[in-house]
Amino acid sequence: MAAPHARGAIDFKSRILPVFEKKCFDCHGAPREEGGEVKSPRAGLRLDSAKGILRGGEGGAVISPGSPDDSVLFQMVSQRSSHDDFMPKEGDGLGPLEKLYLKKWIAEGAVFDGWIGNEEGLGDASAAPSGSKAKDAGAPGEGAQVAMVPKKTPETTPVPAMKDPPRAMKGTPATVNFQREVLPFLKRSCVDCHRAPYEEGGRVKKPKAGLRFDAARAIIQGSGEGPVLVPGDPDESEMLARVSLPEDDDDFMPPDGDATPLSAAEKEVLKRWIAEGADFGGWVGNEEGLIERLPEAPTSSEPSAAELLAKQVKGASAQDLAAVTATGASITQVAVGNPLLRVEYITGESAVTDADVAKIGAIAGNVTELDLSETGVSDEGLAMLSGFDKLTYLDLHNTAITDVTIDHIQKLGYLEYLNLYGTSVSDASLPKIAKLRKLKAVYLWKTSVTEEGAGKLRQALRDAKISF
Amino acid sequence: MFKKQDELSRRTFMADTARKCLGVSVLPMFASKGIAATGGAANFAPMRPKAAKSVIFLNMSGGMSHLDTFDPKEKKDVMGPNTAIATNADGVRLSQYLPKLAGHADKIAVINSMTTRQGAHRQGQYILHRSYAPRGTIVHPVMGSWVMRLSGKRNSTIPGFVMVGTRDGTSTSGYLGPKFAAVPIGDPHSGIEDSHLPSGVSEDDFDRRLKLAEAMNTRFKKQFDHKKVQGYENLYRDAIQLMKAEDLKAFDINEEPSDVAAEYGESRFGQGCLLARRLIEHDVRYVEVTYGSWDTHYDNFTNVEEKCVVLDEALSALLADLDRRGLLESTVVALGTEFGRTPKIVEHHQMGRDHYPKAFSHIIAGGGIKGGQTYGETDSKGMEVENNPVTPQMFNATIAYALGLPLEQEIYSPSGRPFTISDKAKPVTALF
Repeated sequence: MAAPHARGAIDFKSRILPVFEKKCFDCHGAPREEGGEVKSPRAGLRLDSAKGILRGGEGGAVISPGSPDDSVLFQMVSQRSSHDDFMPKEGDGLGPLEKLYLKKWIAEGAVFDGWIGNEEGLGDASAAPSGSKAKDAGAPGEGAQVAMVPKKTPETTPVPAMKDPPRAMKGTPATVNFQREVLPFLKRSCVDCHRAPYEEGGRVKKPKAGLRFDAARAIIQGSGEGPVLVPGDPDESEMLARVSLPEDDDDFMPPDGDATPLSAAEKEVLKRWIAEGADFGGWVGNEEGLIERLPEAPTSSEPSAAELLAKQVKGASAQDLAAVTATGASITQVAVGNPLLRVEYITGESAVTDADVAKIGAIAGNVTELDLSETGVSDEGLAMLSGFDKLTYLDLHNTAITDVTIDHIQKLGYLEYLNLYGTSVSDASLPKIAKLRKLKAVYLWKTSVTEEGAGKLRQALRDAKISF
Repeated sequence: MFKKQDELSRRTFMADTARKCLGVSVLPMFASKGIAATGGAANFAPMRPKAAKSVIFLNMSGGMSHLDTFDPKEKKDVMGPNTAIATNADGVRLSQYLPKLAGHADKIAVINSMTTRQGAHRQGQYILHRSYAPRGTIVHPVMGSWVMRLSGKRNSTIPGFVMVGTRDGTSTSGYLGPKFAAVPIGDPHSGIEDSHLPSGVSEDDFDRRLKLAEAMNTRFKKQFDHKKVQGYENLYRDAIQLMKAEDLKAFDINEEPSDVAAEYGESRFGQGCLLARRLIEHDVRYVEVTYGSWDTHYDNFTNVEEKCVVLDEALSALLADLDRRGLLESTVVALGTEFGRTPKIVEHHQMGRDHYPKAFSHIIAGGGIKGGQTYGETDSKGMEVENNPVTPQMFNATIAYALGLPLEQEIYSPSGRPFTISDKAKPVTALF
């Protein structure tokens, strides 16, 4: 559904101000008293005056006059309402027409037509309120887990100078129509070399670089080396870059003599089309020869045990963790974003003693997976296991443990995986193991368990795999 | 040479992608370097809990006939002397040449809808391993190198990526550099070559020599700071650490009790699978074992039957052995080939079959994949894929998904092009 074209420049007072008043001033107005407390403008951002709007908040400027896409204020109100960053936080979001007017108003230079607003309490308007939130930075290391990486937010961007001069938007449509405006020059300049394989002169001609421009899906898929189109990001879209090179550049597209290059206007249209999200408007093109799409991967409906248990976890102290790793243990998170831990000894297991393992007791409440296989632990050292209430995975294969250790774990009701192969565990332990109803797999090869005992355990835990 | 427009923005794009794909990853307590350093390299956290930790990839090179192994049919004109047998899983039928595996069908998922465009061995093997078609200008890394790049080693003292049955690992890591190349082992019985201290040199002596070599190298590196120099040094350092580690025993299949070793059969492939299991037990991340000569243009049935004796025994032993040790849940066992073979029998080549990329079969097991199932089907002659086509890229995406790797993470080649582990193909999550 197309928004009606706006005629003439956007009038701030009649089009933008009412929206701000209704949807923004409450949280982004002057400090006021309410219920005995002083309510400060959120994020230090005042939208109730021209100065305040231009100054921005704690994160820096929120308006980049001339460039709505660079304007944080516009970005925030354009998010999906379920997004964390969506604005306004309370009440109705901006309607599509309101967003359109806001966008055009910014694009036209964010001109206030003399409106001042409420400057009370603004103080020295030239200084933006301080307080950038420092986030832990980390570079993605080779093979190592990425630490929290700083968000690409305006917190670190200074107020930018006006970029492009505001374009006259009189009567121009807000979005590019792909089929009417882009497809014609794609067909003229690109598709001859970049289309489905065809036969000519007895040979099969394949699309150059494995790249096709004759189907929407193919354009999105890109070439053998990667995507050529990044919707919303013209700078990262190689298809735009290649046609924008100097004509004598080796990589300029289309190659000399093969087709007519894009005119300046066409390049501009292509850029805008990409910036606006590369909407094909329903155009499909020639899908012949494209690999069939698979349906979207189904996401599992049930949260896993690790996800459920994670809700009860408090962080472990760095000291406790260091004490554990000093014994040679390896600690990892069980999944990205999940605070539960996996503790194991990957190398040098034979040297690990009860005293070493005791250190893990200090972080018992955080551990959901514990692998002490092949280590020198004993029943005494594992008495602490009874405190590992979040354990879902326990591997003790090839250790000197006996039935005594099974006593220690008989109350660990979340256990799903229990590996006891190569230990002297016997039938005596099986009734205790049978009580752990969440077990999915129990490994009993090379133990003292008998065929009969294993059979009984299988009967008791019908949904589990009992490997014997 | 064309460059992306803004180097700086490209790097932030990379970091941004990492953030978007990996989400809020590490708790503040892990940010301190101290923990990362002492905890060894095993700090990779997967995208979801219960992800697999290791991969054993069985490379059937030559183009393994699908009808004669995992997709047997009823029609005699395409089956020749071969027939199908039932297995211990309702959803799976196998060729009569794989009787032992029929007793372990409940552990595996058979994919009968593999399809590719590569009909030649080099290109087929290339795309099977690397997810991209070969291009003259660039060498794409194989899956093992990608896995190493994205998740690192688990065991810091021994190599993380091993290829058994090949002599040459140099072209494996492509633009990722030698650090992520495979350590090749030609013969499983001889373990790792050059990994024993020359006699007469004590460990102390050796350390001193190494420090001297490092001092000399530093000057060399300063003059020729090239990634390859760094890479070879890392490989060398890997090998050194190997010499001192008790984990070295992982490479010695003579340490294995003879009854277990016998289960795998005496073939090189069988013993290679045994070695793979030992390496997985020692937390090696990725092991590939090659079994070649499946290119049965001539005398297809005799040859395939013979090879299946070896495959049947080795694969069955491997699955059973991993399973009873509780390793199958955390290990992906994948079996692939570059293409299938023609359902139409070429009679004048002593009943041969030629290359057939349109439809063929792979196997995938462990790592959270549900066993006892067949995914995707071909028609009654094994000629066309009827539903759920799976490309080699999707197969690789499935392995990556099983490992909890970030499928969309882009790595840039030195020339500035972005790549992902499976060329953005979607994993077949229905298998899990």
